[in-house]
Amino acid sequence: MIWLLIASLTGFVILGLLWPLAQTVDDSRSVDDGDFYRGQLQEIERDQARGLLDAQSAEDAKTEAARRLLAAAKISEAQADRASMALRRKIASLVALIGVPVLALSLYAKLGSPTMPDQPFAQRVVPADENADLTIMVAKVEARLSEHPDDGLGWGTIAPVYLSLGRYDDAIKAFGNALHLIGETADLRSGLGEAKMAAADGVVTADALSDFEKAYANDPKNERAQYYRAMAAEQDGDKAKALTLYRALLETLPPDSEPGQLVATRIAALSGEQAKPVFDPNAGQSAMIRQMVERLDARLSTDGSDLEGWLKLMRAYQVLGDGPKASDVFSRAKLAKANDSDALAKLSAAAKELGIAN
Amino acid sequence: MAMTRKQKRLVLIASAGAVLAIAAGLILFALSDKIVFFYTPSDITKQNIAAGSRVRIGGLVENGSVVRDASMNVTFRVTDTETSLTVHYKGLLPDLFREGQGVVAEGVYQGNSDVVADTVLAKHDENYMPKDVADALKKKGVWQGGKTQ
Amino acid sequence: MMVELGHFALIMAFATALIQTVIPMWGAIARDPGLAGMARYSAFVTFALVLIAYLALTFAYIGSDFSVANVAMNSHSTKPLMYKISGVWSNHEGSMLLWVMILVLFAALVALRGGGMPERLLASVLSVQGAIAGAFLLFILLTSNPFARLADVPLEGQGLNPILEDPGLAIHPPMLYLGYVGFSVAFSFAVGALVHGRIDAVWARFVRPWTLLAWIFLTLGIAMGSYWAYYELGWGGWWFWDPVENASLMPWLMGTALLHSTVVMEKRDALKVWTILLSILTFSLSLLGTFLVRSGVITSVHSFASDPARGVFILGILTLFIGGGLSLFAWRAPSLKQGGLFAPVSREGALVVNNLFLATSAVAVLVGTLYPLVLETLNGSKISVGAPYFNLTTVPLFVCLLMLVPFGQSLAWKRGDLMGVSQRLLAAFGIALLAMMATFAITRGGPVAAPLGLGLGVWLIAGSATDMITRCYRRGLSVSAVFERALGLPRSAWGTALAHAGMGITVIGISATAWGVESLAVVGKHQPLSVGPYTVSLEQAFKRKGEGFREDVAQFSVMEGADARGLIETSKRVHTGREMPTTEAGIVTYGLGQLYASVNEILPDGRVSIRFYWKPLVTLIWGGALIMALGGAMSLADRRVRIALSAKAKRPSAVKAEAKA
Repeated sequence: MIWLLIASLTGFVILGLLWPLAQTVDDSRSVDDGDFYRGQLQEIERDQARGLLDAQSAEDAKTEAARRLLAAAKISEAQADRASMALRRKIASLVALIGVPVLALSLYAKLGSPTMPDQPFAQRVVPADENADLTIMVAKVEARLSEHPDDGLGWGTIAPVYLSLGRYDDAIKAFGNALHLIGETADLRSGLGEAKMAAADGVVTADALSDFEKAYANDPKNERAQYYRAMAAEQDGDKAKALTLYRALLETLPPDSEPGQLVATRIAALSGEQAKPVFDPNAGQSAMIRQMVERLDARLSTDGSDLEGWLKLMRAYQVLGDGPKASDVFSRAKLAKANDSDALAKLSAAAKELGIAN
Repeated sequence: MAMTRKQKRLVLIASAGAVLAIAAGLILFALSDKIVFFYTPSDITKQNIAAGSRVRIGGLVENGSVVRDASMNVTFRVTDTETSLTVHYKGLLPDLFREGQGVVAEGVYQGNSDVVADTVLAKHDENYMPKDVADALKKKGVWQGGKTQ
Repeated sequence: MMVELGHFALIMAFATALIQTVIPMWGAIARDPGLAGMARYSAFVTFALVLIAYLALTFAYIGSDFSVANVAMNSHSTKPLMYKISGVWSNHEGSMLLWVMILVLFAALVALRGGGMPERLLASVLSVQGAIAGAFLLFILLTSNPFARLADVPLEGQGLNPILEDPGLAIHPPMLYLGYVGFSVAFSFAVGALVHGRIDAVWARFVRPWTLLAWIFLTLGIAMGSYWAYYELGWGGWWFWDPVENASLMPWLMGTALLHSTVVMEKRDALKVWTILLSILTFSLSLLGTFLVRSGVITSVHSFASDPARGVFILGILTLFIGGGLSLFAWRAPSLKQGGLFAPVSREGALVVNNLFLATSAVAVLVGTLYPLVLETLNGSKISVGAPYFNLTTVPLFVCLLMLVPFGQSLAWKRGDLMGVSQRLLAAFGIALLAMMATFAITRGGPVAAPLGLGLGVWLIAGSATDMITRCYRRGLSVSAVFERALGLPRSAWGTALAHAGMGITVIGISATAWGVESLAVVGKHQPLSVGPYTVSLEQAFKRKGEGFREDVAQFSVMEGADARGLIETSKRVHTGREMPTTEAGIVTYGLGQLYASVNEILPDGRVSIRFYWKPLVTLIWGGALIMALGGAMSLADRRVRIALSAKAKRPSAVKAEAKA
């Protein structure tokens, strides 16, 4: 369907471009400058008749116009000969007939996403998409909150939703409002910390950590607070403390639950790394970055739909100085996005920019 | 008043020259006298800026430094994380003026790390910081550019 | 599908713009009417394609199609329809698309109206227009594609910056762009003439309406932008000498010069080479304006879109067109047939003076705008060039210029009689002097500049009136005869008088700002505060919810002496989902002046920290600009000017070669 539209548009365009060439040129049609000056003469006479010009200036004006009319007549333009005209016309038609569609289609093949349908808001597929309910809910709660900004429960409800939607700044605000209105709870406090951490691209900042500490003080059983305190230690490079904290948390979690496994993998990763004999002088920082990168890598291996993730990962490896890994990611990403030309273009552009050979 | 061709040309050229000369003079004078240099707080102390000179300073509003009084006088400190200056200002602060955020103030340096400002500009939208400030802070390695999208 | 069709149409438009550039130019050079004839049709086709693309994007905005990255970034499903439509140009990508659409619209209009033009001139003009369109289309497609899609379609858009959600700002950019881009026609005509090797009164006749049209839009656009900044930014100022404002002022100054020099060319067949140069420079400054705004190279309060990478591309376009235009000028201008010389004391001589002043003030603004950039590049030192510089350079130039305007307007073509003109203007001069003295007497001790400026404004208005009266009135004529003569005067004469008087009105408005009064205070309930002739007192401070925002409102009652003059309210607004607070200024118009309130903060104890201004005659600033634009429209409506626009009319083009009209 889209190709049909594109084809017919191309057809109309070529028709429009070639239309004048199909017409026989009427040479007499072109207006010469003489008309202009003859018009001037008439105008002067009209003005004189209406009394806007006195005889003297009218006479002067006429002389001048007549002089210019003569000058214009002298520059009559020579016409080109017929034979070369026909040749040129053929070339021009060919360029329009072939050049335009070829240029347009090849550029469109690079830039366009012909397979992507329109997705206006009203027609978005609602039932299959669990997020759709979320949108409606968010909109409802937002509407309510703009009328009742002192509804602490509302803020508390919407805050984790913002967090999961990636609206971190809104989440921070909402958690903050909820804490202010409802009062201190470990869940809200650790949520606030998590939002701050997410806003800082996954780094447990001092600010976020103080929230987790508060939540932990309030309720030592709060799993999120425990987990992020451990992660903070891990990011600070304090592996021993991180391990202790993770292990303590693991004991309270059922081993086959999702959080349990998450914590177990962290412990495994940390113990593995600890076995390494030497540390980089600035290990704290780069180890932290490494971990974040590896987490992202692991996520993308299971779910390759996140284009931004791929781009980030590619960039990260390149920045870490791991060229082969980066070009490996590039090929994996291309595979994962094989049927999305738009994404492929972006990936190649990014790879080029990063100087990844492939 | 019949003029020869040459005279006409001369008059035209002379008047054009006069206007251009006046304009050039104005521009040069204004450029030497009416421009204001931009400094960070450390520049001010390092370069020994003379008291009484007109300056434009940029940096971050130091946390907890904003003091307002009843007659709309405001005092705050502007820092580039190294040195800070005290800015005195009377009037309304821009909507986006906030502690910890970028700010540019223009006024007269009083010596002794004091500036009496007549203009205070804050960053104008969420993703925008006065370029002067961003550049100066970037040099110091503080500001990390925008968030990755 | 619509989105992709729009995307394809935009790409196709790039291809047809190339055709429009190459083939007609070839035809013009080879004197082949067939190839040259393709110019018009390719201009129509290119316009149709860009229009399809533009409409497709607009529909995506209306339907909130967040699979389009541009829509997702700049719109929200709950926006009112008007801001969905204006959202298209609220961002970089969309505004560039609007820019190009206006460009190809102008090209299509030239093609439509250009049937009476010499075929070769038309072909080369449209070819240059095609080249500009092609360059900008490529820029859009490669660096700022509004049709980029998102694989993961977000649930909701990110919305529009609340400060941009304003009817004034919704129409301001299209106005400004119509002005900027309109000057591209003059540029194309100039390049066309240089290629063509011929330039004469016919050329001026064809180029003038387009220049006038662009000038009208630019005047309106600048006035609108100024008023928007005045009420939206909450600082009470109407002009900040901000680089973005300068970017629109420079083409206006140069364009005003161009407007006047085309008149000389049309009526006297002189100033040809200069007019060509002005055409090139005016559009160059328009391009520079686009560059300044779009690249963010000069940061300013308006920098909503800044991306230096795009700046490099625009820099390339600038170099191509400004450098190319000027090189072509340097190469070809000497071979153009020079126009005649003329007496210094004459209408055309006066117009030369006008051109000198306008062009030099444009240069002064340009120097001030670019100087910080140049200095930073050269030695890294950072400076700011602000109002003091611009006031010092432009005000004297403008005062000189405006003092001379009534003389120029009254001088005859060819040989002017300065003595006669001075005698005729004696009354006008007397009125201006009287107005000045009277104001001095009334406002004794007040600022000196204000009465002087007021006198200048009155001088302009009275000068324009004198000119019209001397044209209509002859001793012994009956009232009806005078009236008839007045109606018989060319509309362009009325347009000139109106525009000059409008300038005078603006000057009065600007001068009156010196009488402005500012009151800053923290006030409690019913505590009176005097602002100029008024006394305001806080009635109530309360919170209020509106659609999409919450606000803290402060409401004041206004008293003039013992008379109540109504309420004024100002608020601090916070938009839902955005941290950014905005100040909503309260503005009430009394006569020609305005009372302006801007709340700073509502303190917890109920007191309000507030700023009030009384700005006498301030509305004249924008009122004068409207009258100027009206004068331009009047001039455009002149039968003799409009001929060039209406080719289908069988009437031959007509103009007086010269006359006092």
